Amino acid sequence: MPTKNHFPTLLASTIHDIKNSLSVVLQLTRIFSSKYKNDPDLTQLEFETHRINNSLMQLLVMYKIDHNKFQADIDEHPVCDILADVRAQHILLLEGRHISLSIQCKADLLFCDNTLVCNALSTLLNNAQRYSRSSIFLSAYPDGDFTCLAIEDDGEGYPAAMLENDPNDLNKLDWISGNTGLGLHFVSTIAALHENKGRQGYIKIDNDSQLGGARFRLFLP
Amino acid sequence: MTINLTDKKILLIEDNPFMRRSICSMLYTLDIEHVVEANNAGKALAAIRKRSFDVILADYNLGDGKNSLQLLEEIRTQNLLPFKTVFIIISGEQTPQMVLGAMDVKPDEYLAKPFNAHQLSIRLKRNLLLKQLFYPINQAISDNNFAQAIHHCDRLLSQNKQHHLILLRKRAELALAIDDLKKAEEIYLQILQRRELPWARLGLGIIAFRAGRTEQAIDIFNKILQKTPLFMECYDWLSQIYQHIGQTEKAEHILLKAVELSPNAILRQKKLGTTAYQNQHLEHAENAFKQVIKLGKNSIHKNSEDFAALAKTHNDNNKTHEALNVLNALRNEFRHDSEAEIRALLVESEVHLHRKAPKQADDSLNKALDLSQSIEKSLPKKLLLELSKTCFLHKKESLGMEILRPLIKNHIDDESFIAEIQHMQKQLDLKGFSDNLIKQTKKELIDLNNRGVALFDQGKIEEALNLFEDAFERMPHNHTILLNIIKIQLFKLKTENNQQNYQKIQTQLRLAQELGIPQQKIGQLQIEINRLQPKHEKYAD
Repeated sequence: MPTKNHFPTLLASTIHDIKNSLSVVLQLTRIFSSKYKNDPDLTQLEFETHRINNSLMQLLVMYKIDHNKFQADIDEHPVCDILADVRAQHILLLEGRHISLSIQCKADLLFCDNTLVCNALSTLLNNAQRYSRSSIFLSAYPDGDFTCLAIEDDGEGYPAAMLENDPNDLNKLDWISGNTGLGLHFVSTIAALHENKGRQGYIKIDNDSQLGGARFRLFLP
Repeated sequence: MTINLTDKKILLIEDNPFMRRSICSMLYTLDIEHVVEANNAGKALAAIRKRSFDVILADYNLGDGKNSLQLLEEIRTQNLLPFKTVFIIISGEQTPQMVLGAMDVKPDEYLAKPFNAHQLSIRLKRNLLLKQLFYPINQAISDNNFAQAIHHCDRLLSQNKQHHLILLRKRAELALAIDDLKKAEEIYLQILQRRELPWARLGLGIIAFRAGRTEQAIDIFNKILQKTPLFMECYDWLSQIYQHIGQTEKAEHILLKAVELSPNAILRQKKLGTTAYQNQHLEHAENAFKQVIKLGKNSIHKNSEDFAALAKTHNDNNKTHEALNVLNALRNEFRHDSEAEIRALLVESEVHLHRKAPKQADDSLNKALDLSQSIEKSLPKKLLLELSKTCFLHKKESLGMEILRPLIKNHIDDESFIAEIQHMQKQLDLKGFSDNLIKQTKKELIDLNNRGVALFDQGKIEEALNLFEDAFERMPHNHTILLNIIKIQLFKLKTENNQQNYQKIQTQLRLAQELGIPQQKIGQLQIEINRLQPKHEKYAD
């Protein structure tokens, strides 16, 4: 059998291994954190570990999408549960960095791939943490035929060059300098996997955050 | 409903000691005190046999031996998993079904690592809540009380908004279980109006299939696969329907496609092997059966049947040496298993015939016959058919017929099995050996049925019942007769109001299930019987 056919299995089992190691690294970091009273270097270490994890997840999903081995698993989920999931994933890190996260959920139920949407929001929350000063606002509300999930921060906002392009247009992504390259690419791909009655999910970025920084919005039909 | 985690009993299965310790400490921070730890599937199985757990939390990889999906499959098959128990698999990916590919069995949730105590707590609570919500429904189903299950489901549907969709899905499945196709269709259409969901569309396909609208069902299944080509269950239905209408080439093609996408599902591989063999695509059948044996290594589905099938395919494909090797492997893997030994002897006999060694072939067959005589419990019908077939191959027609006759009598209303017998007859060119017997037995059954119904119509209820009960003693696997007995008992229950009859009829219903009568054929009867249940036994809401 050509190696090509083995690659997905190889990739998945390697990622499984790496994640085992990441779990151990994270656990050790937490043990040290409680010993050394939230040393900022340790918080940074934990943050980077999360980033590696997110990137791995994204790579795997993107690989599968490219090889037609991926399919969104759409079901109905309470939006509040999704936000709570995302919060739970980041809560320790946010506390360590002294960033406050407030949540407002005005939407009820949402048809989506729960796992994918959580991953997407998690990726963005990770970015937001990097650029925000002290607070992040996570919200969900109905918007016409869509449900909007928004992440707003109080940082510097997106650089002007990034705002010029449509983030849903993958051809225009700045791959070379883009820190958020994979992240935004991933999230807009995920948005597009959500379809209902001819409408497709999409993302929007701007600097109209209520907190004065960047605002990211994910619209799902 | 709120969920309190502190009193929950948890089984944690993880082979990595560091990870096990760290998950344990997470559980302690959640104030969970009852944690049993296991570092492999074997120890986990022992713990599960000893006591019941609220949650089983298992890492996907458990070192050598079974992985956690195989463990789940085993405890589900052996009825060791109470329906209150949540089974969560910890894995690298959140939706790994593609790579793991085992769609035969699904845990309640895949939890992706790394995770923290907060995430774990949320997932545990969410799943426990669902189990609690569905408890009365599942309890009623396991008691065979579908009326009660539907009652609970309808009640929850009117009260619970958050879980509306999943309850609707359950309600549709319950409707299908009692053959209420109209209600099921209504629900699926209602769901589809809100959102195009593949499983709801699949439901409509199943209904079309059941209602005999084959073309429509095929069309629905094909359209689903065009849009969601990774929806594995849909391939299974499509191949089943092609098999049903005799288009076995197409059935094989669909299974092959499914297996390419998801190669680790053992039961699907097995179906592929059988279908390919049926189509005389020996190379394909060989590949599939090899795969089945490989996947069966740690699986509850490991079966001597598959070794025998591979050996047989090799033999048909003129690979005598390989065939004998597989038989050696069979005997190695299934020592002291008489059934397996009979299988091995039968294939061995065919191999000897094939290589023109009639004396040895005869020896093997005689050994198989002796062994089958010596064991107490009755052999599976398919093995008996093989036994009979080998007798015919050796020109021992009367012996073959002796085995075949009760098989036909007993399974006359098992269409697919009778079809297998007819297929064998054609293969061996037996010129209607069994055809007459099948025709005659069918006629006898119809006559018996007519006589019974006539007696019943004349009000001779007891006589009708005696007639069927006598017949059932002679044909203890016959579906039609048993269903008639249940119908008459039901009538008696309605008219005589004798509570003892209620227990009797429940036992017969369970027997009907054990005999493999499809659920939809007994569902309606169950509902009627449930309505007549003695008052004091009904559940409070």
